[in-house]
Amino acid sequence: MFLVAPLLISWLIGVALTAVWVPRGFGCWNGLFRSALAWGLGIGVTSSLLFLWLLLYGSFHYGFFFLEFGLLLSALIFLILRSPRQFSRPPAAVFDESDAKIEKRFRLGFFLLLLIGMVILILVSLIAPHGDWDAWAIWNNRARFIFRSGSNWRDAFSPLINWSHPDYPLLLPLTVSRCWFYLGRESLAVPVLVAIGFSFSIIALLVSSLGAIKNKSQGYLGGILLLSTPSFLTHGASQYADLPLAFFILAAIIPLYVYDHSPVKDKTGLMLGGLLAGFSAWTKNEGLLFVLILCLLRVGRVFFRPFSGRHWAEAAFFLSGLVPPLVILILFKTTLAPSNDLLSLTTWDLVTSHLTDPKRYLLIAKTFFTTLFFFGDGSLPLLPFLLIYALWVGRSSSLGGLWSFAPLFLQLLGYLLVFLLTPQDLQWHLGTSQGRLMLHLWPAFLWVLLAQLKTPEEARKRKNRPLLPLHRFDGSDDTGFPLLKEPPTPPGWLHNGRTSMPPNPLKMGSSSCGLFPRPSEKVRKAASPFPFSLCGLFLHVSMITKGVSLGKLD
Amino acid sequence: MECDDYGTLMLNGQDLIRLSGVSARNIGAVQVGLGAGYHLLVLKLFNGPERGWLTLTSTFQGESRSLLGGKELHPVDLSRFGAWLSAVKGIEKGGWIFFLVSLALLIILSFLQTSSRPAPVKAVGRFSPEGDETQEKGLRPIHGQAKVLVSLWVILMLLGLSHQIGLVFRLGRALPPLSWSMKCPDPISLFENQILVIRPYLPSRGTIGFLSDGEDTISLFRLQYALSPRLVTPEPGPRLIIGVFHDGASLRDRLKQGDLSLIKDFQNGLVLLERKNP
Repeated sequence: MFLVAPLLISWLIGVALTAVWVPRGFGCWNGLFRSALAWGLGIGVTSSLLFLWLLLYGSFHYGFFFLEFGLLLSALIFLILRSPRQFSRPPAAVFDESDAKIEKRFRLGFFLLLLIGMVILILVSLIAPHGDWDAWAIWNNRARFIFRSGSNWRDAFSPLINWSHPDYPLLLPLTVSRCWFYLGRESLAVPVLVAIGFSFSIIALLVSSLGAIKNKSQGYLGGILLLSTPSFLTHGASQYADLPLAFFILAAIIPLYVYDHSPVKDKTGLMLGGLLAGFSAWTKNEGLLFVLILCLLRVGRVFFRPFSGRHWAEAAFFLSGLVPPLVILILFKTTLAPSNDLLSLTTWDLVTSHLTDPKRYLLIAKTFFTTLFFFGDGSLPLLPFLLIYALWVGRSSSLGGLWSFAPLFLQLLGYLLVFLLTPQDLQWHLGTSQGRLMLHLWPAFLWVLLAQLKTPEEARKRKNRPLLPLHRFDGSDDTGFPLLKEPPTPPGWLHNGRTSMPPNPLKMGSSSCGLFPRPSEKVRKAASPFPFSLCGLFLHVSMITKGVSLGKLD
Repeated sequence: MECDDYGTLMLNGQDLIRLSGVSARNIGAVQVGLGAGYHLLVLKLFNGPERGWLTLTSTFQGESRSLLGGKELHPVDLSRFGAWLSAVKGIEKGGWIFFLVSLALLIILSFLQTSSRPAPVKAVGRFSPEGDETQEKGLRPIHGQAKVLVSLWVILMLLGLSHQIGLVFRLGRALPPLSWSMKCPDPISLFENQILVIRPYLPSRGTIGFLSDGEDTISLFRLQYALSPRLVTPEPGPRLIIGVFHDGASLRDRLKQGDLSLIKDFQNGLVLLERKNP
C-alpha cells in the first residue's frame, strides 16, 4: 500500500486538475476519462514540481512532502467545493436490444483481451524488472543518479556520460526518483508500476473517450485494437518513455479534437490540450516536435484566417496551457542538459549530402512501409485489417475530416526527416527506433480514425436499410434511379405481417454490393457457413505459424 | 556462461541460467553443488540473423577452466526435417497474405449474402418476379450484415487472441525460474550481484574508468547503471579503472604495456586496475 502512496498522491492532484480542465460533453464515461487523464496530469505536475525544487534548493528535502501535501489538500478542498456541479453527469445513452447485443460482444472481447494483456504486462515485468535496454541505460539510470547523488544530482547530466543521452527530458526519471524519495529506498516495483500505469491509462483514455463521443461499442473496439498490438503490450512494461509520450499525444489530441468538432466551444479544452502537449515535450524530445506541429496548426492558422477575436482567444488559451511545462523544459535545456547528440554531430555538409542521396530515401521508404504494414510485431498485420474495416463501415458524417490526422501525419513526416538527416548509421537508427516512433502515434491514430468511422451499430443499420424505401416509392429510389411502373400485387406475398424486399429489376446486382451478380440459391447455401469456417481456418494457421515463431526462442 | 542473444544452461533437467534479450554479449553465472557421478548438461542457443556463439566457463577452487568455446558450436544438421521447418516458416511469412485473402473473401461473400437476403420492411403492394417461394426464403431472423459484423468481431478477436496468447507463450518460455521470494535472476540483477565484490574498492562518488578487451558497450552501460552515482567513462583519465576481460591473455597483454597495475582480479571477468600516472 505504501508503495503506491506517492503515485496515489500524484493521481489525486491530477484528479483535482481534471475537475478544472476537462471540458463538458464527455457524458457517462466522464469518471473513467478523468481518472485516466489524472494519471498523466498528476505525474506531469509532480515531476515538474520536483525539478523546480531541486533547481531552487539544490537537493531533495522533506519540505517537498509538505509542498505536495499542501497542494493535495487544497486540491481536495477545491474538489469538495465543486463536486456537486462538476460530477453531475448526463444520463447514459439508451441502446435498443440489438445495440446492447453488439456492445455485449465487444465488451466481452475487450475484457478478455485486457485480462490476458495484464498477464503479459506482469510477465514482461518479471522477466525484466529493470526494464529493457533504454530503461536501465537511460531512464532508470538517471532516476538512480538523482536519488543516490543527494546534492550532486547534477552529475547525471555530465558530458562524461554523453552516451546515456543526458539531454533527454526528465518526466519519467523524476517520477521514479520522487517515489523513491517518498519510500526512502529504491524499489524496482516503482518504475514497473509507473510503466503499467501509463499503459492502462492509454487504454482507459481511448476506451472512455471513444465511448463518450461515439458509443461504448466503438470504445471497446478501440481497446481491442490497442490490446491486439503486441508491441504496445511489450513496451507497456519495458519502462521506456515511448508509451508515456504516446499517452500525452493521445491525451492532447482528444480535447483539441472535441473542441474543434463540438458545438459547445469550451476553451478550457484548448488549455488542457496545450498543457498535455507541453508534458509530451517534458517526456521525450520527440514531444518537442509534436508541440511545434500543434503550435503551427493551432496558432499559425490564426494568421491565415480573417481577423477574429475568437481565433486569437483560442490561440491564447492553447498557449496558456502549453507555456508552464514548456518553461520547465526550457529551464532544463538551458541550465542542465548538454547538447543533443544528433544535433551536435550534424553539420551543414552532412545535411546537404544526406538530402541529395537517393539511397537514403529508398532505404527509409522501404523500411517505413515494411514497418507500417507489419506494425505491431504480431504475426498478422493490423493496419490492413483496420483499412478493410474502415472501408466496410464507412465514415461518420457528423465528425471529422482528413484535417484531424494532420498533427499525426506531420509528426510522422518529421520522424522521417530526422531519419534522413541523422548522422548515425541509418540502417541501425531505423532498425532500433522506427517501430517505437510509430507506437507514439498509434493510440492517437486509432482514436482519430475510430472517432471518424461509423460505429458497428451505425454500420449495421446503414447496411440493413431497405433497398427501396417506401416513402420514396414514387417512381424513383433514393439514388434517383427510375423504377418500373408498379405491377399488380401477386397473391400470398405477405407473411406474418412482414414482407421480404422485392428485387428491383433495374437494380439487380447493383444495389448494395454494387459489383457482384446475384448468386444462385445453391451458391448462397454453400457460402453461408463460409465466413465462420474461414475464421476457424484462420485460427489454425495463426496457431501453427505462432508455434513456429515461438520455437525461435528455444 | 556468455552468449550472443538467447541461451539456456540446464543441469539434470533443471534450468540453471536463462539468458534472454537481443545483445551481442549476455552474461550469466550460477553457483551449484554437484555430487559425485555423471550429470546431464544441456545447452541451448538461439541467435539471429547470423551465427552466434556461446562460451561456458567453470570455476572450481579458484581455477577457471573453459568447458566450451564459441568455435566448437556448429548448427545441427536437420536433413529433411530442416526442409519441413523451412516450409512451415514459409507459411508463417505468407500468413498475412492468407489473412488478407481470407478477409477479402469474407467480405465479398458477406456482400453476396446480403444482396441475396432481403431486409424485412413493412411494405405492401410489391411485386416479386420470383414468386412466393423466394419470398419465404427471404424471411430470415438474422440479417446478412449482422452476420458480417459477428464475423468481423470473431476475426478481430482471433487477431487479438492469437497475438496475445502467442506473446504469453513466448514470454513464458523466456521467464527465468522464480524463487519463493519472486526474485528473477534477470541479466541486470545477475550483473549487479557480480559487481558487489568491487564496490568496497571504489569511492562513493567520482569518476571511474572503463577498459575492455573488445567493443563491449553493454558492460559499460551495465556498470554505469550498477555503480551510479559514480560516473563510468571509457575516456582516459581516471585513476581507478574497472576492466572487463573475457580472455585472460588479453589482460596480460594489456598489463605488459606498463601504464596500468592490477589491484584485484575478481575471477569473474572483472578486474580492478590502477593507472600509474593519472
